[in-house]
Amino acid sequence: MPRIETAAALEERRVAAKGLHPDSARRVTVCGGTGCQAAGGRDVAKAFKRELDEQGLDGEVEVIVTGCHGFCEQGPIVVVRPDDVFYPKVKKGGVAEIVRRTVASGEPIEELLYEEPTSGERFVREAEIPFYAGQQRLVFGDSGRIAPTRLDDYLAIGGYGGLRRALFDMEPDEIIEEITRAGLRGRGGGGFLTGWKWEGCRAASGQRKFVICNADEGDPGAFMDRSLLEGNPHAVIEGMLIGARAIGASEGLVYVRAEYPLAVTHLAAALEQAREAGLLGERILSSDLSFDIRISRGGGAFVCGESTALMASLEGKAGEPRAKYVHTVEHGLLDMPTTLNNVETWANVPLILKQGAEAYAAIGTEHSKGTKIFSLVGRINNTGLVEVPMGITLREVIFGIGGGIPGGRAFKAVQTGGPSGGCLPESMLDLTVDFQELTRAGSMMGSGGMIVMDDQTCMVDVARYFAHFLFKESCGKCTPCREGLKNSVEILDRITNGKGRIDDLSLLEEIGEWMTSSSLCALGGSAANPVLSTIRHFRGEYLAHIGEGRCPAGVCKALIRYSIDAALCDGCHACAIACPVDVIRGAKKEVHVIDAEACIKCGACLSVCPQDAVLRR
Amino acid sequence: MKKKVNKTLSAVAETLVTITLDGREVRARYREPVLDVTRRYDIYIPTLCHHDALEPAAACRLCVVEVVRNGRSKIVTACNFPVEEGLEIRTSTERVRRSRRMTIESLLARCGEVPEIQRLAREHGVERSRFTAQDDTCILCTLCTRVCDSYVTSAIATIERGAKKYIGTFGGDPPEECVACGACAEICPTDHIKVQREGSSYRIWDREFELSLCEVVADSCRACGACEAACPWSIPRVVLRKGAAAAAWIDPEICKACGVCLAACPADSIRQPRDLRRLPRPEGKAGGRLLVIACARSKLSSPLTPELPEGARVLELSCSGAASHAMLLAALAQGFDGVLVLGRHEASCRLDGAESQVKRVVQQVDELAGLVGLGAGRVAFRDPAAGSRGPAEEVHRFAKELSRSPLESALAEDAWDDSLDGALETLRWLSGRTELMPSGEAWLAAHGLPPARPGQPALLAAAVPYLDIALTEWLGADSLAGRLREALELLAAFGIEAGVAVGGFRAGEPRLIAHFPGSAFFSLCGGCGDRVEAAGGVVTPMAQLLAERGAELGLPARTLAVAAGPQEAQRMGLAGFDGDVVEVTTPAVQGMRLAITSEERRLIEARFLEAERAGAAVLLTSGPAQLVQYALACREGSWRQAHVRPLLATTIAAAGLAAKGQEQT
Repeated sequence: MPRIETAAALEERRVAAKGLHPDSARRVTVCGGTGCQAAGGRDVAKAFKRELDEQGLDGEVEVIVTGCHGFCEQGPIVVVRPDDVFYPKVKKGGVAEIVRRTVASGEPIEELLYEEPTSGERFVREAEIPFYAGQQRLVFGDSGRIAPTRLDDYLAIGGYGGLRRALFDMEPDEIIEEITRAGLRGRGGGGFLTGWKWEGCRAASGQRKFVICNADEGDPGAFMDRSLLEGNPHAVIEGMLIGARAIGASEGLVYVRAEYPLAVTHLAAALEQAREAGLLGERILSSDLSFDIRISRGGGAFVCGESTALMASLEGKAGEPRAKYVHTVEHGLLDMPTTLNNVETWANVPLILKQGAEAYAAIGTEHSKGTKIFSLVGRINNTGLVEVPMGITLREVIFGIGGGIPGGRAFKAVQTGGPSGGCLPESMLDLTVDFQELTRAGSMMGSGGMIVMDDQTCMVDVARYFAHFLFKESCGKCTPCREGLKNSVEILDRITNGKGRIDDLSLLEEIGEWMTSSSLCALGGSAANPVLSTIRHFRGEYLAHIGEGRCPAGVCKALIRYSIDAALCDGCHACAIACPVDVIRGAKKEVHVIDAEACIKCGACLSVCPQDAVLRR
Repeated sequence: MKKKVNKTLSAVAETLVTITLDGREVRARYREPVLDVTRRYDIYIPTLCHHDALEPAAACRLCVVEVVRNGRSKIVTACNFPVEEGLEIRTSTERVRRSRRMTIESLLARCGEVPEIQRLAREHGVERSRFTAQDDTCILCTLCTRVCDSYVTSAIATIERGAKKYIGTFGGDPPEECVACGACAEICPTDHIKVQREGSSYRIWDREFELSLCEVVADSCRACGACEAACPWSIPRVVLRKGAAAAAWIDPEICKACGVCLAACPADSIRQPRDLRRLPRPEGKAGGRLLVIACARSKLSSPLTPELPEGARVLELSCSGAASHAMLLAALAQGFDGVLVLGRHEASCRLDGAESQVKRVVQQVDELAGLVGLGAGRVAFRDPAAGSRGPAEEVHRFAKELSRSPLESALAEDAWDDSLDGALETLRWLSGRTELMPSGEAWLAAHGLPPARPGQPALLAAAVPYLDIALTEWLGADSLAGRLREALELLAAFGIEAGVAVGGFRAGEPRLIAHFPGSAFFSLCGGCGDRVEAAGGVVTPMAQLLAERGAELGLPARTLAVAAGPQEAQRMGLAGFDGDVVEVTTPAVQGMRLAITSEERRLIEARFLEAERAGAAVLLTSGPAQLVQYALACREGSWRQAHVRPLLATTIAAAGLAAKGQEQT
């Protein structure tokens, strides 16, 4: 790919790229996100290429493996463009028909279209599907349309236009002013005003300045950043370039967790292309900006998502945070001024420069502008990645976009903000997605994880799960986090084992207050949130465990008993056969009995009983 | 929305700010830690992981306080929270107390048997812990790993994370990097790090070290007690021996193997098992031949150390405190352009105090080197910055300073005498080098003495380039320059305006004298006095001068001279002295040996006592060597104190010289 020497040359290339792949062209986009790949997406893509070839369409119709489409529950996803006919759960075997009917003749295949579960309605176009209709996919939407490692695709959709403006139409302080006016706040969990952060870094002095992209995404259940890097790495690169110009940096780093190999591959490829094209390196587009980006991989530590621990890790030291009383924008990596932002934050930057601060700030609430990508997971029908405007209610996200709870079960709680976040009950479903509101309610926006829970989720077990997670991930440097989590885990283990004590709750609250006020970093500082929010909103459940030795949700093994309803049992013996420890006794055609003492609570009998005669409580 | 701009540190570093500390308005330096401020105002804040010599880790969280800024209050650690204008600090609110109690309660569960934690618990009203007890003794304050990282070799580290974290070594093996400095054990507040000491074996982190214990060679020991005085723990003791002269003895069970006593012994009578004291050969370009004396904590002999300047050679001793006068002078004589002695943070070394002796030795040798014309600054003691690069950086810095003054030629000796006599020998040799540039004028200027002017009566100070420095050590805070100044004042009181000429010891150089025709000069030893007379000068005894005019100067009513023997008395012109002379001479003193036996010492001591009882107020000696001997002989005693003043310079001579032309010194 020849070097793009000037802004004018960039525009020429853009025109050429649009010409090569116009929006009106016929194209098959196959989702290449990790989830869809795991479901067989690669084979589907290969099948399409073969079919098109066999049907003689390979010259006219292109197959591209794109980034994540977001509707992960329905993968492998195929969208036939330009009409955007949406096919979920595509099998290899169904490819031939799709090519023959939809690609060749433009005819949607009814039986293969997406069917909304509750209404039974079928939808043809991607945008009409309720899952997508409720979203505003400004940042994430492009991922489903482009081949992530094809620079021309990115150029065709307007890519690097923001960079052009930043280099030639704006001064650094004007860029920062624009970002500030747009109201962009950090998407990694901190929610700090990005413009202020950049201003602080620009004003700081140091021999070198760094721009870092935090791609360590460690929250269980969160995969927004992964999908962004996999699906549209150039957006992140462009964001970092603009940031570098604004603060005066010439070095960039992306710290990506080791568990994201596809993201690393795609990002590396995108960096290589950008370098070839002269969009990274010396004197970019003949401006005075020289900037390049290196990739650094993490080593499997959640705590390295914390900015100072991340920088320590980059320096080759153990990933341990330090106090942030002196800000990293002044003294960060190698003690130099450093701007660290999350993947999604960087991806928002080109958008702001392209459409302008006013247009961006028109979306969202007074204090939370723009959109946010959430990973909507757990007990939800439409599992996937959703991008919604700030200010939307949790109810709309979960029941509107998310399609509600599977199996018609009752909603119980939603956890936002990952292990640092809190659980919100049904009474709070009308809270809006907003930094302030969520924090005030005892949770937080966090990096965007949204875990939905139903009546079969035990909230005490949830608290225990997150306490264990954080206990293992704590770096161990400061006393409150290290000892506080250790003691909390011990107490929660006891409670879920039926050995809770009367003052356990007040002790957990005391430990929680101490960890929150006195921990060294945000890991410890927010580690008490799951415990404290569940005690606050689901106190009754805790009291049932402690006072009655009962787990209302039927989860905590020590507190549940499996038994057979004599009235329903027909003695078919299926349960006894399924039981791995052979503790069910009963003669054929006679009521069977489970030996409760020896039962290991695996639930096999419950799942095989044709009469639904197995009781779990 | 307000715009916040962080000012850069350098621009505002020295500004003072006004803050509120527990309701009281005080001043503080911008961005200094809260803990520094509270200490200045005597407000107690408990700490566990804090140490003045280390960067704050803020790990224990015990030092938390509440701060209010922009109307919002939060809990922060005092050890590293930087103050700024208008900050309000509350060190003892209920919230603060609750946090500290929880910290202590948790540590009490973790390390219930550790005295320091129990003490903190009592102090803060924590009676028992509600948490499950463990029997750990480590509170993970990381003082040990941090001191090893900052000042030693990074031999230990924290392993694993979270509650599984512990202090350990690479691979769990005995650490290769460890140099048994004991800093980790010294600094640990909970006695978690165990050191096993048995005879000369020192075991730490499962690694065994052989200590270089010091042993006295009893037969050549002079029982002067210098070793006992030098040892930071006073381990050597002069003891009586059955059927033999008293000698020093070092208890091998408690000797810390630093070698400082070895450096202090004037008789070269202490040994360490390994011959560590072989000087390397100087190599490299003139001006760049540098000897670095360091201990293993500086890690200079490791192949992984940053490169040292070409021409730098390292001598690794068990402690830098073991460098002696003789060693440093021998290095200069053998051709090193300079010697750098490196300390390594005394306060965290298990040999604390061992460095302080060598700091004095280095200063003295530097002055001596200047005295004999080598110029000052060739010998230095430096304390490198914290961190693994500190020592190497210090060597580079010193090499740069040195490269401006190369020394030529060298004494090609492999063996050298590690005693005081040896030091003097080397000094004599150094001063006799005609190719060495005399820097007498510079020396005078540096010590605030008037320059020598032709026609002025002169004091020939460096005619005897002795261990005047030793005088400083043993007699008190005075120096050769001080003595000379005193002599000048004295002469001035007698109406003689004199100056001081400093030059090398050049035998048989009548031109020295001819430089000052018609002047009176002070000779400092018999040798010079003879030459003066041979050149036609006149020698007036100092004692005489004192006797005649002393009363006018307010000198003590009875001025006694203490002579070194009949010959000496004659040389000093004491024959006609109007005062009491008490002789304290012994053969040792007469023979000018600095290593004297205990028998001799007892004799001298007795004579001094006699002299004092007889009211002697002044000790006149013919030369510094005698003075040194007397010092060695009598370490205690009133003659060392103010009211008996030792005076050098025993004769004044007036040289009625015929002009022999103006020749240079």
